Amino acid sequence: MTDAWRLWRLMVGAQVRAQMQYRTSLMIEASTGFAVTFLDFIAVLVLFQHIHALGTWSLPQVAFLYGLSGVGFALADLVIGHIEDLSELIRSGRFDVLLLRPVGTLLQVVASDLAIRRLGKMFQAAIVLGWAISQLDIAWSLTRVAMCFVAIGCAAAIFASIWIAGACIQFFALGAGEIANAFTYGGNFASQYPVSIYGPWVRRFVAYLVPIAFVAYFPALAILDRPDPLALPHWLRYASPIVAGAALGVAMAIWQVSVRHYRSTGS
Amino acid sequence: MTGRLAFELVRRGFRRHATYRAANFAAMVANTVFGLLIGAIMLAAIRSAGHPIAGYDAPRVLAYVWLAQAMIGPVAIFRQSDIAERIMTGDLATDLARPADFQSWWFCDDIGRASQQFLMRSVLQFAIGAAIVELYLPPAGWRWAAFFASLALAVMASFSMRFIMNLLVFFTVDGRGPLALHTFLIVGLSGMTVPIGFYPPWLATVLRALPWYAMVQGPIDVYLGLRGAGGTLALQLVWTIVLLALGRSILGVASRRLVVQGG
Repeated sequence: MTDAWRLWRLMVGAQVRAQMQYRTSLMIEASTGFAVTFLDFIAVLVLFQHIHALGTWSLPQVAFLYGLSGVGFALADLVIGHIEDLSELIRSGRFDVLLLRPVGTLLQVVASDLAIRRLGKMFQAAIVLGWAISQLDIAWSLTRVAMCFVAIGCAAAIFASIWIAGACIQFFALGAGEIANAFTYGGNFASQYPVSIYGPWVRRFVAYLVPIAFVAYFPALAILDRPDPLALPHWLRYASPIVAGAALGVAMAIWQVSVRHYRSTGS
Repeated sequence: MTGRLAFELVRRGFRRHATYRAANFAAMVANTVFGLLIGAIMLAAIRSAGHPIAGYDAPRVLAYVWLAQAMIGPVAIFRQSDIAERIMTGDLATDLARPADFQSWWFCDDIGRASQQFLMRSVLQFAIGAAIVELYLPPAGWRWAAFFASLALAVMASFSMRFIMNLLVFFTVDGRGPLALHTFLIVGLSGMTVPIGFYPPWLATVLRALPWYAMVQGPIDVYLGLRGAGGTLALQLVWTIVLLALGRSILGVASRRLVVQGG
């Protein structure tokens, strides 16, 4: 474990130094990342020009969901988002090289990059989260503060699992990697809004199959201490850490199985 | 450029993109999921408002959502970097040496790409939406015709803008920045995230005057009959011509300072 950590730091450190070489492009990218994610929030603001509440959720409450999910998503994206480029490794046959090294393949892929431009995205979500908290009347206690941090960690872990599992599609159907976008970016988008507004069919999908409801919706119910419009069991709002842990376990198992399915490149 | 060459370029552009069947299918899955989610959010908003918002009732807002998702492919909302890559690798030098106009070459290639995306992705994408939810369909045949014309102009306007954005790589060397800028501008200003009519009136007026209006919301307005078709088509045509001319002059400046990589 300490070895893995040391290796990750070494590889990622080299990556970061390399990215600092194209400073103009990096700055444009970080600021566009910041700005593009703001567009999602502008959409929320525009909708709230016409309504007082979405279902029973006020603007600051939706902003809280947005911020919680956004920071977690950006964190996962920063550390693991480049796993999407796995198709390039497979297509070019470079994945063979990874298999020859005496280190786990998942660690090597994860450590191959750390796109610091994605800090722009995180910064944006953090601003929205800060604004939401300033508008909401939350009875702050040490537990509630801790719950916020745990919720962000869980959100990042859930998104990371979706990314890992989604990338595995490439081992079976090379080129169909964009399907994973439906779950990663789609999951991020879905979790920015209260799960209660979706129809029962979509809701079952995002709550149980892909555990998107545990990214922001359930933790927010607990932190904001509000009743669940869906009247689901009370303990679900504290279940995110267990769900996140389980999701990571499942994702890594899927990775192991998929790597065994890898048959190198054609010609 | 001769008609024969143009035709061959369009055909090859079409075939080149038709090869990626798995990618097309995957994109359709992603767009369908987003269509379902955005549709649910928009419906919840209209239900919460208790009345149509800016002329959009439930069937119209759903038509907006599924049209926008179906247009992502042909209008190329997300990064598209063929020209930028040729600039970065230096292959551009070969392109410029060809006895055919550079901008027209890529224009034809893009028409081929967009036709493929339209026929093999958009039509099916929209049909999926129409099968899942109840969305607005224009009553008159001529409105369909106007919409298809408007969609074709949207593709051309989008190409002209992407051509300019790709050429900016001449000035930044690394291509990711300018291409990310393209996605930001088109997602933010074209009416891709929320109908432009939902914005405060003054902002909506500004957005309708910008070139990105021609790329997504313009055709949707024609489809929904929310704005005059003739005016929208004329505006799209003007923007396409202006952007093509601007791209051409940037190419002139850029190729004078071209340094081929590798030597």
